[in-house]
Amino acid sequence: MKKRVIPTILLRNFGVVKTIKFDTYRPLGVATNFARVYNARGVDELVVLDIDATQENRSPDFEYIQDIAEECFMPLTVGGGIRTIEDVQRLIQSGADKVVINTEAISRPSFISEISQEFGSQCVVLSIDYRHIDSVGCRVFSHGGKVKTDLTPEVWAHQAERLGAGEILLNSIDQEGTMKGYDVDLLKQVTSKVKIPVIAAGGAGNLQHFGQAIVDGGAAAVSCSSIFHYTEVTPQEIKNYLHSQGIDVRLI
Amino acid sequence: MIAILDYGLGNLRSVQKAFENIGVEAKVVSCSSGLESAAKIVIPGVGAFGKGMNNILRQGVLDCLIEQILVKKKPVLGICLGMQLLAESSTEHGFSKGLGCVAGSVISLQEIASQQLIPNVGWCSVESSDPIMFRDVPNGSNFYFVHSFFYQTGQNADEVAGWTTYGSMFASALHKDNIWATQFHPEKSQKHGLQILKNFYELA
Repeated sequence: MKKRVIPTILLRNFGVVKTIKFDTYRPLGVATNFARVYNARGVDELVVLDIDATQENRSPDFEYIQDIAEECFMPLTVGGGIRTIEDVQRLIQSGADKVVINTEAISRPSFISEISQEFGSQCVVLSIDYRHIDSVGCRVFSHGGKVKTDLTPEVWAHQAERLGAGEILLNSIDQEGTMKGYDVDLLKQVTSKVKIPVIAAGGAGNLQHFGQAIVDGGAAAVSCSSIFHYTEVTPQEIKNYLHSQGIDVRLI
Repeated sequence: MIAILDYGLGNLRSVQKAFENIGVEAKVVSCSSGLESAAKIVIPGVGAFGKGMNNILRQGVLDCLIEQILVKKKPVLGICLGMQLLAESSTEHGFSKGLGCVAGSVISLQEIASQQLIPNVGWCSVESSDPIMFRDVPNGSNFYFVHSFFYQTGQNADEVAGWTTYGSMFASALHKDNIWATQFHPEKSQKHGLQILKNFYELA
């Protein structure tokens, strides 16, 4: 299977922001412009996460997602604030191909099965945000990293797979936005426990990081955002690098 | 006019805007009259097989859809689940009967790709020698796939227009008479995908 390189854009107040460890927001621009540029660059897929929706206890902004989708002739994966089957249906109608769920799935795991039954497991991406806690280990957080749960990422990923999740978006809150590299150890623990694709998220800062996530961590895809916002690295350069390391990617 | 069939499970807007991008107006229809007045029909699809067939039945368009394809011989393009629905049956979430417009049946990727990740999500290359469907698309180009089930060909596989390897080879594109189908998403596969939609549109 070809490894994917997936830019992620985070939405807040209708704009794209960069965050560090799920905090310290910095505004970057208009989402539709980002989508247009990524489409022109022929990226493998685009992930759009509305990081306000769950905390504001509201549904996704369907019209805004539709505006973004208008720019995308590549797969579009959308998350943030999804709580009902109707939300999923409307997002797909708005142009999303897959949905990312998180908080709702933690409070109601059967939501994963409901979406899977209705739209197929390939449509359901479970986002797992986790943090390392000293003397405890890794724990999953809900509500945009605000609320700690007792779940460990490996167990939750395995459970989600059995419930019908099609992919796992594994996001290290500790690494997020730091550009210090992915959490390869935990990535490896999770990918060794599930058969569904795991997308590594949080921490990519240089080309080597992507290779590590795939080769050492077993990731099926690598997601990143800061590196595109703050360096000259393009998605195609990442793929050229991965290709030079003998990793199967889609070159265009 | 190209009609995109709305049966409650498709990524309708994605397909419609892909046609818009190549300068073609495509209309979303959900009833028999819409299918009857169309010159060509697209069956999109994101979802489970049984649910898709149920929706088509409940919506009252099943007989009309089959008539347009098999009797009136209108060009039809099935995409992803839309391709699978054209088959005789599927074993997704239990046995379901399909539209029966092509000879194959739909079974789990587990059957051929037990060592691979399932669903198959991502870009795979398609080997094709079909000069009409794949006109101006280099052989071996990559297309976007998202699926857990696949179309197992009929006895002589003469309907197959493209092959993809995922564990083993499977039919990723079909072209038989007026029937076109792709397991991948042309509307999400950037320029090569848009080219296939263009080839469908320009079909006489």
